[in-house]
Amino acid sequence: MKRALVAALILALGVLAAALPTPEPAPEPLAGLIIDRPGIDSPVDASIWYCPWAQANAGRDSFFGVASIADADAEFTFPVAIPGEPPDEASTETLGPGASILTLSDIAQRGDSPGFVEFSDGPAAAGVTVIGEVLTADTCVSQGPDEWFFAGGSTLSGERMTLRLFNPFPETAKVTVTGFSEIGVEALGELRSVSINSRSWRDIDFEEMLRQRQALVISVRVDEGLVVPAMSYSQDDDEAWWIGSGLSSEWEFPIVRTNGLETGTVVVGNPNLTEVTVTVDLYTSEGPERSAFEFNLAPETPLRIDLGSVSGGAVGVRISATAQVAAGVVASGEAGTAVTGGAEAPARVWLLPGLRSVGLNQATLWLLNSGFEQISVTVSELTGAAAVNSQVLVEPGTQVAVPISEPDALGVLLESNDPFTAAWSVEGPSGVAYSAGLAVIDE
Amino acid sequence: MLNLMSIDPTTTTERLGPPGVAAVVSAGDPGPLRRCLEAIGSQVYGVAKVLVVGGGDEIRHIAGEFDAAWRPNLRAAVSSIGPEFMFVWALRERAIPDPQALRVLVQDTQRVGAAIAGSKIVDADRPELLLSVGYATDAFAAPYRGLLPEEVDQQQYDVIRDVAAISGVSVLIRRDLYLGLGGIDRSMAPTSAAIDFCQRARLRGARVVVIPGSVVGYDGDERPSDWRERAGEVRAMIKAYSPLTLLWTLPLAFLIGLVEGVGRIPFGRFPLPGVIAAWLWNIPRLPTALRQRRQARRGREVGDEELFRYQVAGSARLRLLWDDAMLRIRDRFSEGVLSGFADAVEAGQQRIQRPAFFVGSLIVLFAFVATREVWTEHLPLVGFSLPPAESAIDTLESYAGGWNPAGLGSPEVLRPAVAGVALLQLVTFGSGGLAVAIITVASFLGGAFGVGRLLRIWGIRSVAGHFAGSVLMAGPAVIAATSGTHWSILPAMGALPWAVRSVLGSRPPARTDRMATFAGAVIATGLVAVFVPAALLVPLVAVTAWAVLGLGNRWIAVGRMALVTLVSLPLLMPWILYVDPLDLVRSGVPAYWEPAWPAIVAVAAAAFGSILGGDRTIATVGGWGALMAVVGAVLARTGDFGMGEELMLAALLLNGLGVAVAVGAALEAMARRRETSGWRSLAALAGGLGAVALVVGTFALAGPGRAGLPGDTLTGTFAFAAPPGAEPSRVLLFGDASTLPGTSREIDGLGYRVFVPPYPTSAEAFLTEERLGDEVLHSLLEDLIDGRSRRAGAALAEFGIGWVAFTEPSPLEALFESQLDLVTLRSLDFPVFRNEAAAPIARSSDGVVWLAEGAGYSAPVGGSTGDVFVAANADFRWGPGKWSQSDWGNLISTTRSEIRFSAYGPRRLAAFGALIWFLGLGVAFFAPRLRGSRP
Repeated sequence: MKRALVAALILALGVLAAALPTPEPAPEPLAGLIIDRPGIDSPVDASIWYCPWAQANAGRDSFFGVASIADADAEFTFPVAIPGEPPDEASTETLGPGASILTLSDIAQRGDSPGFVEFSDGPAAAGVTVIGEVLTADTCVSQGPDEWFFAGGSTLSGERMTLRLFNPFPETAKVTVTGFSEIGVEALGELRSVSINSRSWRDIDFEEMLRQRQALVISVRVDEGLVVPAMSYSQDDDEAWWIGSGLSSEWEFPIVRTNGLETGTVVVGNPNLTEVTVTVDLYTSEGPERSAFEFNLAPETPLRIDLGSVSGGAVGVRISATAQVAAGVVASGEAGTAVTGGAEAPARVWLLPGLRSVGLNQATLWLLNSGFEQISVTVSELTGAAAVNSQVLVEPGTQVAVPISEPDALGVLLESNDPFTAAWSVEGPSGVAYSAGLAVIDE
Repeated sequence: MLNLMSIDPTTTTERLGPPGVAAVVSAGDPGPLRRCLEAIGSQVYGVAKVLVVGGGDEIRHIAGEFDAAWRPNLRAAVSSIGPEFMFVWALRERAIPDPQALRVLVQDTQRVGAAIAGSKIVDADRPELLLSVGYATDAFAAPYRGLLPEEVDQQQYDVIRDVAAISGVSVLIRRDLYLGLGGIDRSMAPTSAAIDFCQRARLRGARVVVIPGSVVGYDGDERPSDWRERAGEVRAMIKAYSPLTLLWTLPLAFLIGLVEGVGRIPFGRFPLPGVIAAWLWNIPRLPTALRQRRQARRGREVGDEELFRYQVAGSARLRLLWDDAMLRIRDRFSEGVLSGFADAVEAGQQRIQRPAFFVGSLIVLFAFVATREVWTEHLPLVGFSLPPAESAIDTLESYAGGWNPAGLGSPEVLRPAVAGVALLQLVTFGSGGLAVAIITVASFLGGAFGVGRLLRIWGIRSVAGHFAGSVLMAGPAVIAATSGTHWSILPAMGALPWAVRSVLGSRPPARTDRMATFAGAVIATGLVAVFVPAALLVPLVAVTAWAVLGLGNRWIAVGRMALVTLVSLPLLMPWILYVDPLDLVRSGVPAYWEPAWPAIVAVAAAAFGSILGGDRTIATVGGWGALMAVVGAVLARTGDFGMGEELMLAALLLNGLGVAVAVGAALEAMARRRETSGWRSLAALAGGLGAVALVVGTFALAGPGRAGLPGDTLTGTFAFAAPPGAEPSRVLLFGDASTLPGTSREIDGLGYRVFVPPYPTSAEAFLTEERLGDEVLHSLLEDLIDGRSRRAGAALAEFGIGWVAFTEPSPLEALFESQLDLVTLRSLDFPVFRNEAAAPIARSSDGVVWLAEGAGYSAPVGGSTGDVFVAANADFRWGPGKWSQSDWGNLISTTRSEIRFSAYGPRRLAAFGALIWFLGLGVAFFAPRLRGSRP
């Protein structure tokens, strides 16, 4: 009897053990978490700006303009392309809002010195202006696409295009460079899986590789690691550097042509495999000429729109397309050569670091209101210690030039209740430069 | 020519040669002294002077009766022996020399030119039995008598021979040599003292011989098995050997002691405490040993090689162990069918009537084979199977209120297992690997034989018991735990049957033995809890289960076990004072044990077979085992109710014991099935088959030789992060929790932890409660995942993290690949990133890296200036100097060259209390055994 009871007890407990439910399985690690392969993006309040074209030698110098809406420290790093060699470093600080500059030759004077700037707070932005033998400027970049496009530039006689691939990261990177021009897709097989050593850069000259191209669209696709590309276009004695961009179906260029630059060209590239219809709106201080041009752009073809024949002085442009396209502005004339990218969309706040008039170099701020309402823009010229504010009204569909006269200005902050687009230019004895503004994205 | 007279007036004197002899009798027991003095008085070679040394008034009185002088100590005795004496005849009080003994000794000593001569020692009551004809020794000064037990004197050794040493029962020594060597070392036990004296004499070029013609009876046993003899052997080596010889003999002697300590366990003897006591005995006596060593070696005429001439190869003690084993083989064969193991092998076809010894041998072999990687190499480093820290002292300091080094550190108390291993590590000259190997092998043996002893209570024979023991140590429960890298279950499992047996076994009649049994139960229960803390109550549950189902007056055992459990609690101090029991049983991954179906079927067959097919006792035992097994299984699957891995380990212990008991009962039931018939016999057969299946299944554990633990994943894996000569930075390791060493934290379900390379030690296995630094690190990782950092290296360097690694590919790698200051190491088999930012764990404000030293840090040569930042969770006990919290870490302003964590006093006291309690229990347990082993 006792045996039976014990056996029954054991059996009952065994059944109980078997019946006990399985615990909830632990969720898969990182389940639901989307971890994109990070690009060069950095957070707004701790942004890193990469400036591939800074240079300082006997004939040239660069100054880094930094501007920040919040109090921030800016740490500069200039890698030395010799393995094991420590980078050159410097720092400055800005009051919020405020701006500051750093002259490269004070830190390193060894020719090309691509570098990057790290801000301790933000929103903040950085730009580089090269002065001396040439005058060129553009904003640095803190975020970018997986595939960069450079629309603009040509390799006709006396012109030179050089792609700089800057790898500020400790990993060797690999990129594939492709391009198309008015003659079709270019054969650039040797530029497949181009490796760029860590904390180094590499220049690719298209002068020999792609001779006599009038409208080139170059793309850089990152295969491994991270790379920040920039393009240099030189014509006669002047040189222009600009940063690459992604694709967009809309582009705004507050400045395409100014006085002294006879030719102002918008280059649109269609990297798609389908035809794209491109509409061009023109804006002058007098008013808009909407849908001034309309083109059908064949697949993998660039379009060079020369605005030299457009009457009036300065011209701004808005491009809209039925698919995403690449676009850029190339302007040249007696004053020099200027190239820059556009803004994908208007914004309410803009930072324009390094925008200043110094010596014989005269800077101009360009505002474009492509909308249908008048807007009021607060222009804050940022000095090291304060902001000098002024109000500018921009009529609908017009472009406004604002000369920078404040001698201590080191950058500009623009704010408005309505979206608009901003860019700036600087003209001096050694050339002319266009620089896109940096839209501050609402958080 | 002198006319020497015997002190016995009835004895006729004869004219002999001139040497004068003074007899010196060492006495402590008055009983046999009278007989000894009478025998001296009966010598045909008259003794001119008799001195009795030592003892009290009674001995003095007896000496007076025989006209012998009495001296309180040997020095006084020797000083009273004048130059007119050529020889000193040293005797022990139990010596009964034959009337011719001294004459032969003196004559032959002079004839062969010896300086020391010993007599042949025979049993006083049975003179045909040989006790000693001189000793060979081994290199470790242990005697090797070369005699079989009860070997009969057939004059087979009657030749004057040079020997390593002679018995101290009767020794003739040249007086000048005696004085020159400072006499016999009285602090040593007799045999080792004789060996020591002979070795010192031999160093002076003296000849040591045994003269079998001189026969001396001995009233007692001459077995040198006392731990004091072992202590004396160590002292003898220290005094005689050159430093070079000592360099290898001392460590080897200790290792031999340990091997003997483990090897005698199957024979029911526990010499390990004696081994340890012998070495401890020598520590305070080292100054005198060194003093006497100077005296012994000054003016020596020969080197160590002269001592080696009369030594046997190998270890005399291990040879004795082997001899004992062989004797046991003979004992196990009744009716003289077989005379020994060798005969059994040769005879082959003869029937082995009592195979228990062979099964036991098989179990021993199995234990060594199943753990061979642990003792030939090291513990596989994987998961919770981690090696002890290099310094046992530092570990013990950490345990006793010091700094817990796990992760970013904490003042939380370490687990008691860490201290347990460290204590043994101290004994093994700091070798953590050896300590772990000893624990592992001893656990296997202890557990396997413990079950045998436990089941013997109910008449279950050794064969069934030993096989059941193998199931305990290599059955489904242990495989489940060890495959989960829980090495610590092995010592807990090894101790568990002893804890239960101590309470359920019959109570010894003697009070001291009862105390020893109780102390043994407390120690065994404490060991279970030390290594698996949640299993503290498992022995009590096991005994209670017996009380529920068992036979006879068993409820009192529950009370005893409860008392034992209560009394074992102090062994867990200070850890026990701070642990939250509920947190403990809930910690770790959810408990859910899924044994293999064949194992379930086999266990069920064994359990039900023993219940249904065994006799009343066997059925009850089988039922008890089955109850423990199913209760353990139920508890091991309660993960859905919040129970964790710790409870599962405890449950597996209970299940393991239950299955082993059921297997033992089933095997016994099968063996007795002829006593039953019908369905019961069939049930017993089925149960036996199930048990056999489980026993056979244990061989699966022996294959890899890692005691069931998975393969090593950490040895050498992170060696790149700890290059020689460089101060290592921490490694931040990501991966599935099951692939990380020890416990880990989680971020979005992915496990991670930090450790100091090359691998975390057992003290770092269990991460403590999250503190500020851990939270900040977690936030940093969240920022990284949010893409808010491109300088992860600099941020991680604040935590002393110099490396980021993944145990397996993870999408998270992309975050680290895009950092400005982390470099991917492509040459490794797994993803690793090197931090370019310097990441010292302790650094001064002038940038100098401080060096890790135990749980603290010291300034490098050349020193440093300024405050020192220690990248560990902030705690005010870091010092010396002014401490302040810097963010989440410690900033110490000090002028000293070292930084330490000041121990928390009460915890340290508690830890010392635990140690004293453990030693006290050890004394209570071993005292009767030590007393019993004296000659």
